[in-house]
Amino acid sequence: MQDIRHIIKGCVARDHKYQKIFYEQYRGYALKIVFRYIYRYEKAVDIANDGFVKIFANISKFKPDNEEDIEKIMMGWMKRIMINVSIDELRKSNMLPEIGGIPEHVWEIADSSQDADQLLLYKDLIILIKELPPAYRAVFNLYIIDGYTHSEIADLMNIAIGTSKSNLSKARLLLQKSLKKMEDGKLCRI
Amino acid sequence: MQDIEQNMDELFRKAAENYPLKTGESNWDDIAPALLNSPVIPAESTKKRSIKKKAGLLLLLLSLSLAGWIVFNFPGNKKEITRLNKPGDEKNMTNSFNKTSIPFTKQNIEKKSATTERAHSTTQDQQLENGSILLPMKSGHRKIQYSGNKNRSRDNAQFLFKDRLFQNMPVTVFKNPINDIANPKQIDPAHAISNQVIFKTAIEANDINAQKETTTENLTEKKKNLMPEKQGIYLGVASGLSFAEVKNQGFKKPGLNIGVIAGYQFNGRSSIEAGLFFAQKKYFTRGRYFNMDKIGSSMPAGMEVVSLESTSCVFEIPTRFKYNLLHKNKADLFSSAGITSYILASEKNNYLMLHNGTKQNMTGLYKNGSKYFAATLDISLGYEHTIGKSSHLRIEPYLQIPLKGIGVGSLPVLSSGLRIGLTKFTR
Repeated sequence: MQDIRHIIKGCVARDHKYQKIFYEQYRGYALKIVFRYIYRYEKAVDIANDGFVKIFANISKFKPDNEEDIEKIMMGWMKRIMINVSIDELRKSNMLPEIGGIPEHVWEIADSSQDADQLLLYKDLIILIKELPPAYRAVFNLYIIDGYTHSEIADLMNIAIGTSKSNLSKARLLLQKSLKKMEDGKLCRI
Repeated sequence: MQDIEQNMDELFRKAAENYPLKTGESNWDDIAPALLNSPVIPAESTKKRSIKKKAGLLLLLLSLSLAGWIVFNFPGNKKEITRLNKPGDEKNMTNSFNKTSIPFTKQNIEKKSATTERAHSTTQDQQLENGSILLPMKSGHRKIQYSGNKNRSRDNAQFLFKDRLFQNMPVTVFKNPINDIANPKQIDPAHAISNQVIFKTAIEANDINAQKETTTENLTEKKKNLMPEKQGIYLGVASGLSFAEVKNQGFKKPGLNIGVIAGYQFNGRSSIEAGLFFAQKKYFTRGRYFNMDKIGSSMPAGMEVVSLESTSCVFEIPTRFKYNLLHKNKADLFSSAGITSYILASEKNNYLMLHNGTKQNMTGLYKNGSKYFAATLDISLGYEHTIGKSSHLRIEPYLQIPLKGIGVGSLPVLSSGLRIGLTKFTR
């Protein structure tokens, strides 16, 4: 794996070779962020690609304070861009809820190992988040998982701080109900 | 309840980090064409550009101030004159004068006793009248004639006296100028007396000057004399570039301004000015600073301004008080303060709007001729150079601080720039 500094330097110089390396190295990371916000898998892939176009257009602005943690800082910067493009897409669709389930082929099939159960649980939890109404889903992702404040969420989504808090509260209630249902369902199977 | 929530939050965070998603094959071919067409945004942020521009303007103002300070405080005549006035100096110089064998020495000593009283009584007259000062030089003569301004002849006498070679040389002050004096030896004292000629040494002349200057009246006179006593109406034209910004959001492109000035000078220092300028103001703002009161009703419900770029054409009517801080020879350093009123001729806004989650561009053109009395507070610091008898060339960095918002969005626009002007007294 090439040094991240060289890759970034190459991307700044708009060298396609380095851009491709960068894309392939961080595509999975970017897609996992976007898929939490965007319901459909194919749409999430498109949005992630849009995010990369923005990243390459703005990469000359990326100036880390600390050269030692450059990859960590860069991934944080990339995360913000991916979140922004995801929120833009949600607003474009007017936060309309999507219907239809998530196909199984989008999930990585787990081996029969110790971690398999854990990964299945994680998969179920993400499905619960994705089944939230888009406005609640966005706020829950931004606040709980991505660490945004209500003020930042309000600016980003062009909503009031009170609306952000209210959406989060409702998202939590719905998730608690869903979790309880899930637990009850598992108990029944047992 | 809070513990359950925290546990739930932590659970979802872990899930988000580790959930098993298939990333699939790389689809670089889908993205590559988009990269060829996408613009590269420059690294320097608007904010940094704004800070650099402000720093540049501030540096320009400081440079002008420093240049003025250096010019007007450069050690020159003052020190030499002070040096001549030191106690004991006169005696030493007089002694060395007496020793020096120069033409007219004897005659000068005789004339000195005979004409000293007259010199004291008539010196003022002589120096008050138009006169010429002749300093015989070793290698030739230099004749300086002055007419009209008593003050100038004294000033120049001091200037000439600064050269110590002349301190012990005879100085001739003529009421009427005598042409072609090649050699002081040729001056006939009798002839000189008939023409009210006074022979004195440079030291004596300087002593008399020094005595006069100690009086308060003469100090005031001297101060006044340093500033030309121009009074009257002047007209002029000015043009320049200015940068406009809203709420520290950075300058964009410069706008041109051009106009006319009319002023009245009270004395050497003070004047008032008014003008009429046509100015172009180009600025950017985010939507949060744009007041929707005036145009909200003409937009669809729920539509919001994300940002806008504006080009406004305004007629500026500045009125200000101008004060000359420093003066030397033909140069002035001045400052001014006043207010400017606007007539907004036209306003073109390129909006980025948000409606139902969709961004779209819109353009608005407004030509309502809104008037804004005392829209800005103006301050400036400038340099003015006299050309000829009554014309002045000025270069003037300025700042216009908004006192009220202008345009459909009531935006407080701060302008700063540089103006170059030419003024001329009407008579």
